[in-house]
Amino acid sequence: MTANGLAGAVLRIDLSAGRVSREKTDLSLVRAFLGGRGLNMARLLQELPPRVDPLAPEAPLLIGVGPLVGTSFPGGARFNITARSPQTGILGDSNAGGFFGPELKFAGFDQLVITGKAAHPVFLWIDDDRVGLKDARELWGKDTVETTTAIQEELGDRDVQVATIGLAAENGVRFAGVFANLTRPAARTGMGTVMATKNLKAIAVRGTGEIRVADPAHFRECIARLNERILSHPEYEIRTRLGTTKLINALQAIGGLPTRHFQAGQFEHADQVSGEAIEQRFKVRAKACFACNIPCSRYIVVDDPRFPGLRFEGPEYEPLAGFTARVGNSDLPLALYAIDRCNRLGMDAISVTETIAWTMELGQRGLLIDEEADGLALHFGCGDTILSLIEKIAQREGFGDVLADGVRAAARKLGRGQEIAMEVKGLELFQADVRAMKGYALGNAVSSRGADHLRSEPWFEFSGDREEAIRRYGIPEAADRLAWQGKGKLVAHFEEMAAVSDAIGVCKNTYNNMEALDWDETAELLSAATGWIWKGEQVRLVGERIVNAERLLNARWGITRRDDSLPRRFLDEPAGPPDSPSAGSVVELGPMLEEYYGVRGWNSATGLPAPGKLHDLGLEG
Amino acid sequence: MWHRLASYYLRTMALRLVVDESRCSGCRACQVACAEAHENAFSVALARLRVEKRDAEGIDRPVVCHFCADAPCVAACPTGALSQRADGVLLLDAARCEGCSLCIEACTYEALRLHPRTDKPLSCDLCEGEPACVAACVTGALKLEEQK
Repeated sequence: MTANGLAGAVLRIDLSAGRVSREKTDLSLVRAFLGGRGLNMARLLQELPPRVDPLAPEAPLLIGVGPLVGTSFPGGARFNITARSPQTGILGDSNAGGFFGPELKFAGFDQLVITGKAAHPVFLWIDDDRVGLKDARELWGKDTVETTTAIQEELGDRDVQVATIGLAAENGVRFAGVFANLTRPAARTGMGTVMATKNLKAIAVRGTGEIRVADPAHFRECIARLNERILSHPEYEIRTRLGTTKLINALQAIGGLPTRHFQAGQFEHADQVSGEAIEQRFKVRAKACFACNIPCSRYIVVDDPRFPGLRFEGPEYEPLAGFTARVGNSDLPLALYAIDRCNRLGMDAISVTETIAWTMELGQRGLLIDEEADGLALHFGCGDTILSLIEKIAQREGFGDVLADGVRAAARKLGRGQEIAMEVKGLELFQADVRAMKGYALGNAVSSRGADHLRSEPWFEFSGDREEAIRRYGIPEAADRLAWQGKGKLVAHFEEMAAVSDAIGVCKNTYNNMEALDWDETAELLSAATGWIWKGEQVRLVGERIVNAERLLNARWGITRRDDSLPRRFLDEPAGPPDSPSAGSVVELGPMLEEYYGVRGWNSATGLPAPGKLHDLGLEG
Repeated sequence: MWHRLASYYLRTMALRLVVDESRCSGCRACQVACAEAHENAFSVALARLRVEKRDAEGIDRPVVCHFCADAPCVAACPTGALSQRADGVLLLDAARCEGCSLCIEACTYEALRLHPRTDKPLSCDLCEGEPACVAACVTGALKLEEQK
């Protein structure tokens, strides 16, 4: 084994032929793309058949883990799963933490390349260098928890890491995810749907190997400094207590909650459904991803006679805000039960909550009557409708079948509600009103996988630190969430950080939101890990290269500037309610896009990378 | 030199790893730190302690060497490869170990494990009194205490 942070091998699985093969990890690709999401994009650029249907057997499904995964980097736990998305038709990519990614590295693999379709349902069993396919016909139809437990029992080892799909994927729901450690979902863009069409129910991994770095003493020194910075960060205490659920109250305060399908930025019941409320009402225990010193996750035991035995790890902010503010529901236990159902059925809670909230707004506006939606009561906050639609979507039954391809497709099928479908490029928007945060608005408009915050996460606009904004971006307004000026530079910077974070395999909470390492410090750490000399600018360039590679992939599927947009609501309707700190705000997308394309070196008419830029990044041809 | 040795033995004389399961986040940082300290590599399987995890039930339970008085693992060793210091800490003479795994079967707490490739026991030596696992634990689930 080489001492460079890598596992050293790529595993190819041809499900049609039932054949596996290994090859050495291509170090020139690692130098250019690092790993994880970056390595997956490099592979897609090289190997994706040009006009392949996302659900065709030959369409590749990739799982990548970066060079810092499995090391002592706190939260070096992430994996990326990538394919052409069956939901959006463009780039599909999703990322999750937990323990699956490190286990793959310990088993000896930096990347899995999965193609073909098995004759019947199988699961992939990677037991260090012994790799094979096992019969999963008995597992087909089981939920994510049942499947994980059954596989661990069959293999006689509870430490085997399992990433699985649920029933929704099997039924062809287009926003079905891949769930590791039960509730660590790579849920966005339908990667579970792709897995299901390959007859691949799950991937089980046991890795007893080791990862070595080039300069262990220097690596240890860098990690010690990083740990010190994290542990002394002003947000450390609240992140360990509430994790991302702290955002319910934080976004309520600025008028950024997606209340009743983004009709208002504040939810009158926010205090009943917040992270603090969960902490006060239910038994909660701190949980963490692999080797992380921020136990930002929780295992909760919900005491409510309507939902006996309800207990799981979670929730994160996204599903919590989705099943409360977005659908107008103040019943916290019901929201938690809904989240558990989505996890077990294996669906993306962001997409599910958008389709439900969209249906409710159609009902509110009289654009859809109850009889058209299986007689469900179409008003916000109706618990029965929420729970019923989750099951109907997963089963593709009745009105659920209309929603199961995503909100854009649902609006087309019904011929109604396009103007209130909260999606970009076919992917549903996250749980925040971007009129209250213009950098996030731009980030969602240009994100390579459709509406999404994790492609940039430009938190800096909440800082209000104008001096720092001038130092970084030369524009003081970059630190002002309601201003549009400077946001092109801001988003470009954070896009590169997010790409590097996904490429090295670490968590955006530490790497982006807490800015635990700058470019030079990342370079120092990567030099100690890989044994190559890295400079800060080279690390940044990897981020820029990944962003451009993704734009090139999307260009193959027809994406241009025209698609870098936002739902009309954010552009035309002033944010409310009238007394909110974001009241009256609309998104000035045009000027932000101009600035962004300028920073990116992309043609502002087409939104595509100029040839010179591709040459500079080594991406031409 | 003698002074440092003497103070080291005095310090380790009654030191034990103490587990507070209710605080464990299940992150396995202790295992990563242990393997790093002993093997100069990152690994979970090479750690001298383990964390029993059951995700569905929300159980995370560090399992550590208890340094038992008259340790059954030592008693079970047919070659004398495993021995115990006066302070209870295990010592492995790797050259004498034949990898029979009788020590593993004898461990009351299922704390002792085999190296996945050499088949020799991964016995905890308390890192000369400054355990890497304890230093890596931010939640206080693992502590070093003097035995009463």
